[in-house]
Amino acid sequence: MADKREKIIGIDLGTSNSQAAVILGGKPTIIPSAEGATYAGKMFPSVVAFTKDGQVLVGEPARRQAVSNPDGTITAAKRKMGAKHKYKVYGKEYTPQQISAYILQKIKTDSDAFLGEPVKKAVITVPAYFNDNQRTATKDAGTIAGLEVVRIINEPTAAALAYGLDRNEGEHNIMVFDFGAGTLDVTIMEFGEGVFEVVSTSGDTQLGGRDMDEAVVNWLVEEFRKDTGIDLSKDRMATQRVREAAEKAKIELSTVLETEINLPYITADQTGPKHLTQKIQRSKLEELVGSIVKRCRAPTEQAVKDAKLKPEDVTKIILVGGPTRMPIVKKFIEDFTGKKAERGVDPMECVAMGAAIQGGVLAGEVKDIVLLDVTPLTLGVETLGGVATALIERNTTIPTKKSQIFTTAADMQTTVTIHVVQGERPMSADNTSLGMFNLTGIPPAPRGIPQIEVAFDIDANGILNVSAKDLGTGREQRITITASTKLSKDEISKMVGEAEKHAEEDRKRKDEIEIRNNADGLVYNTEKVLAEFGDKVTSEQKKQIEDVKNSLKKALEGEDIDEIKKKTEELTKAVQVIGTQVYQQAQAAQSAQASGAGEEEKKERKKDEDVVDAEYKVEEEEKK
Amino acid sequence: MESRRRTKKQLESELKERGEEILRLKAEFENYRKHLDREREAFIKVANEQLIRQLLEVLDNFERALPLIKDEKAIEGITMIHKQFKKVLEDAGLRRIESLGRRFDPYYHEVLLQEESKEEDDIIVEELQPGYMLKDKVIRHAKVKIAKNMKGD
Repeated sequence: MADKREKIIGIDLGTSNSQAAVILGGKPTIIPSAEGATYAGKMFPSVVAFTKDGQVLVGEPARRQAVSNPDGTITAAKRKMGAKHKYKVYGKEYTPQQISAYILQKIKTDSDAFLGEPVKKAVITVPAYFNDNQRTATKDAGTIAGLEVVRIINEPTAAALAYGLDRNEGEHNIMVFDFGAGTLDVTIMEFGEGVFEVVSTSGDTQLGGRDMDEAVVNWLVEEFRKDTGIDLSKDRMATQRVREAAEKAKIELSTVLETEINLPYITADQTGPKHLTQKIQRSKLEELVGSIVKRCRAPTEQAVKDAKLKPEDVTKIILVGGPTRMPIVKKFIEDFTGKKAERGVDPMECVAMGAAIQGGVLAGEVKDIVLLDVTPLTLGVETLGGVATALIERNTTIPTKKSQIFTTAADMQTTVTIHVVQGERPMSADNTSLGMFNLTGIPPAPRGIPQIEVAFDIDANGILNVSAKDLGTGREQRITITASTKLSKDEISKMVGEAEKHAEEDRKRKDEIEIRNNADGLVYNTEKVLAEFGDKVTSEQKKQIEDVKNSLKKALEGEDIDEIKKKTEELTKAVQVIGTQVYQQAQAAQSAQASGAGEEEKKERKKDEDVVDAEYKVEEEEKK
Repeated sequence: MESRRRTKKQLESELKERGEEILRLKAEFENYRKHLDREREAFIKVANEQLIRQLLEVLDNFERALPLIKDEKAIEGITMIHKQFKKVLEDAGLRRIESLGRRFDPYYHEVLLQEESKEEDDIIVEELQPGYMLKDKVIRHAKVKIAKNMKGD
C-alpha cells in the first residue's frame, strides 16, 4: 500500500483538440501544453505527424508542417477508433489507437513536467455513443502510451461533473450540447441518486466552429472583392491573415456588439497597396452563421425525441465547446428548452475538468471539492457616507477570517453602528443588509482616535460571525448571521449583473462620497489648526480662512459636488498660510538667535520639531 | 469511570478542534493559491508577452508599408520610426527568427505554401511573415514557403 495518494489525471481526447486536467489543491486545474497556449485556449490540436527523416510530431508542431507533409500527417484519428482501419505512412502501418497513443504520450510528458512526478493513471473521456470496441480501443491507446486507464467515462458525464451536477438532489433530465470545432454532439442524460445515465444521443460529425470561421472569411473576401476586384482567396498569406482576424472578431463579438478588422497592406495591384478595413457587428456575424446554428436544430430535436421527452422536460442544460460562448448559440438552445444553461465553468475546459474530478474521486481526493465552498458575494460593513467597505471579497474560499481596524467619524462619539452588508455595489444601500448592531461604551475621544477592530469569520457551513472590538477598552459586541439569507444561484448572478450594469454611476457616487468625506475631514482639521495656531497668523488671514471654511461647511449641506470640490481646493490653499507662517516664524526666531547660546537654539528648534511632528501624526491618522 | 468519561469528552472536543483547524488550513491554502494565481497573472502581464505579440502586427505593417512609400523624405522619417520601434521591442527581449535559406523546423516555422524548386526539400524559399522569439520562447512562428525538390534535377 502506497502512503502517498497517487494523482490520476483526466484526459479529454477530442477529435480536433485535446487537453488534460488534474486535481490540485482540491480543484481541477488544466495541465498546460508544453508549446504554450494558443489564441483558442489551452488545448492543442489532435494531430500526429511522421516526418520523412523519422521524427514524430504531436500537436502544434504537427499542425504547422501539415501543408508540406499531407501523407505523413494524421488528423481526427478518433473517428477511426475501434475500426479495422490502418494508417499507412512511409511504408509503416499504424492503428488508430497507436496514433491516439502518441497524443496521450504527449499529455503524459506534459503532466509529468507539470506535476514534477511521473503520472501513471488516467481517466479518459469518450463520446456517449462510443460502443464497446471504441471504448476498448481508447483504453488500449492509453496502455500503449504507458498510462493505466482506470476509467473510461462519457464526455457529457464529465461535463456534468465539472458543473457539480452530481451533487444535485432529485431527478433531472440533462441536455449536454457539445458544439466543438468540427462536431456537434447532443446528449440527453437522466440523473438520479448520484448516477448519470445516457438516454439518447444525436449529432452532426461535420458541423462546428470551423464552419463559422469559414463563413466569416468568405464574407470578408467577398466584400473585399466587391470593393477592389481582387480575389484574396488566391493569396495564401492574405487568407491566413483574414482567417486569424475573423477568428479574433468572432470571439470578440461574444462580448461586444461591434468590432473592426484592420488589415493594412493585405495586397496590392497596379494602383498601389490595398488595405482591408471592415466593421462587423454582432448582428452581421449572427446573420453569417445563422444557417450553421439552424443546422443544430434537427439533431437537438432528434435527441429529445429519442429520449421520449418534450423540450420543456429538460431541467438542466450544459454547454460544451468554444462556439457555445456565442450569444446566438446560447440563445438557440435556451429558446429551444425554455431554460437557462448552467454557468460558471469554461465550456472549452469542462470535459477535461470533469475527467479530472472523476480521477480525483477514484484517487480519494474529492471530498475536498465538496467540503470547500466559496462566498458567492462580497461581505462588508457600511462606513462613512454610506459606502460599503468590503472585508471578504466574493469567491473567497470558506472557512475564512478577516479583520480590519476602523475608527469614529465624529468627536466624542461613544457608539459605533456595525451594519453588515452583502453584495457587489459600492454603496451599502444598494446591497443586501444582513444585520446591524451597536458597539457602545467607547471612551469619548476626538474623531479618528478610537480603534475598533471589526472581524468577519465564516465557518465551513457558511455561518457568518461578525464582531466589533474597541481595542482601547476591550469591549466587544458580536452578531451571528445564519444561512437564512442564503441566495439562490439566480439571485447571485442577478446581483453580480446589476453591479456590472451600474458600475459607472456607482463609481460616480462613490467619488462624490469621497469628495464629501475629504471636505469634511478638511473642515475638521482646519478648525483644529485654527484653535491651536490661530495666533500665528494675522487676524485678517484668520478671518479669511474662517470664511472659506464656513463656505465649505455650507456647501457640504447642499448637493452641489463641484462647489464642494472647488471650496475644498480653496480651503486647502488658504489653510496652508498657517503652516507657512509657523515655519517662517520659527526660522526668524532661529536666525535672530543665531548669535546667541548654542544650547538655547537647539532647544528652540527641538520644540518646533515636536510641534510639527505632532500635527503630522494627526493628519496621518485621518488618512487612515 | 467519571474521569474516563471526562477524558473521552476531552479527546472528542480536541478531535473536533483539530478537524476545524485542518479545514481552516485547507481553506487558507485555497485562498493562497488564488492569490498566487492572481499574482502570476499580473506577472504575465508585466512580462509583456501578450502586448508584444499584438505589437508584432504593427511591426509587420511598418515593414509592409516601407517598401511601398515613394516619397524620399517620408521614407527617411518612417525608417527612423521603424528602427526606433524595433529597438524598443528588441530591448524587451524580442528576436527575429532566421528563416530564409534555412531548413524548415516545425518548432520555429509554419508552412503555408510549398513550391517546386531547385533547392533541396524543406529549404525555406520565402518568408511570408516573420517569426519572433521573446527571450527563449517562440511567441510567433514564422510563416514560410518551402521548397519541393524537382525530381531529377
